[in-house]
Amino acid sequence: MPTAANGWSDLLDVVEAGHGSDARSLVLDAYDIAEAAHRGEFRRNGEPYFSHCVAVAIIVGGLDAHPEPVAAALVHDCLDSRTGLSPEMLTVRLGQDVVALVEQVVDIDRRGDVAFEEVDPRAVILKLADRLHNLWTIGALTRDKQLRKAHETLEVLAPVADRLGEAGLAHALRSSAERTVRGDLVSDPAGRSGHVHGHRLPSGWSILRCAALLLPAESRSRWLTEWRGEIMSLGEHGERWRFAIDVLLGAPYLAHVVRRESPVGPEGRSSDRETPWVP
Amino acid sequence: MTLATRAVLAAFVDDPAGEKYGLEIARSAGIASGTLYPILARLESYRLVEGYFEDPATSQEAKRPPRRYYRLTRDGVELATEAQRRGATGFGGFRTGATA
Repeated sequence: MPTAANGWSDLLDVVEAGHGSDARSLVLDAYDIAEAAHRGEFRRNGEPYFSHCVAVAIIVGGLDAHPEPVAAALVHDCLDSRTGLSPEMLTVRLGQDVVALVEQVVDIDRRGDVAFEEVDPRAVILKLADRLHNLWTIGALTRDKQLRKAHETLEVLAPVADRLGEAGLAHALRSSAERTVRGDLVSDPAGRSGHVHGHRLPSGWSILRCAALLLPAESRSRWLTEWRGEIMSLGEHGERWRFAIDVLLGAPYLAHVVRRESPVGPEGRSSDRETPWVP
Repeated sequence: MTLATRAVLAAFVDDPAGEKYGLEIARSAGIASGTLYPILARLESYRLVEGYFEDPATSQEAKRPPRRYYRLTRDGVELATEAQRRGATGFGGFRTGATA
């Protein structure tokens, strides 16, 4: 049974601890390939495209920290005409197993009516992780596309996660899709970031969401609220991104501290009762 | 105590009763945000700092999301003062060169 990992640095450590230094090198190779392939490329919400690859890899690694699925997650969008990379080129660097996973995900996306039980479960998990992160950053899409993806998630993908025994992933997919259907997360006129409950979401927000995922569930809202107050104090796009990445890098240790340090009692803790915004 | 923790405490020393939000503390301490929050979480659990979200009415007036502010407790003031004294007498400065 693979050990699950919680964050990027944790993930590399877990991959290496479970599978050796060659496994870590494979993941780092995939990281380098994806970073180079997507350099200068941005998502519709204005975030660097590569951030999506890392986020999907962290989600996948949280479920299965074998090196092949994590590496495949990093390069899952690299077999695209924009990158100029072919399956053969990727195979030389990452091996046939990784490329086969990526090709199956590409096939799922192209065909649309895939019999998931015939697909390698690792590729299915990757597809589900990709969709989950896309739901978190769906605000820049048109409302029609948001609803189409949300309904597909509810009707097809979340049940697939159930069948794979991934209850946590299924729950995350359903709750994110239901929120999209309710219109809690909608596109903004600038098309660069969304907003929730009337509050604009800043650049780097999806990275902060990833960071919060590493924390105990009961503390996520409190930290996201704090980080939002902080990041909105930064005026420049790049500064906000640096802040978000800093927070993500520190999140595994923050999670460790939050879990370890026991509360000193309700009257002794500073109050979070007035937490004003819950994402 | 790590240099980074001492740097965080030192950020309050000039105005021990003052309140600061995370970015202010990080800038003053010369540390990254990813380093800051675990330190604040630990100091808060030890009751050396106390944190609170500002009044939503204040942030609405300023047209920005609410900030979480931190200030030293009485124990925190004592520790920060002691850390500064030790820093000034051979433990090295803690306003610069802080590490995690």
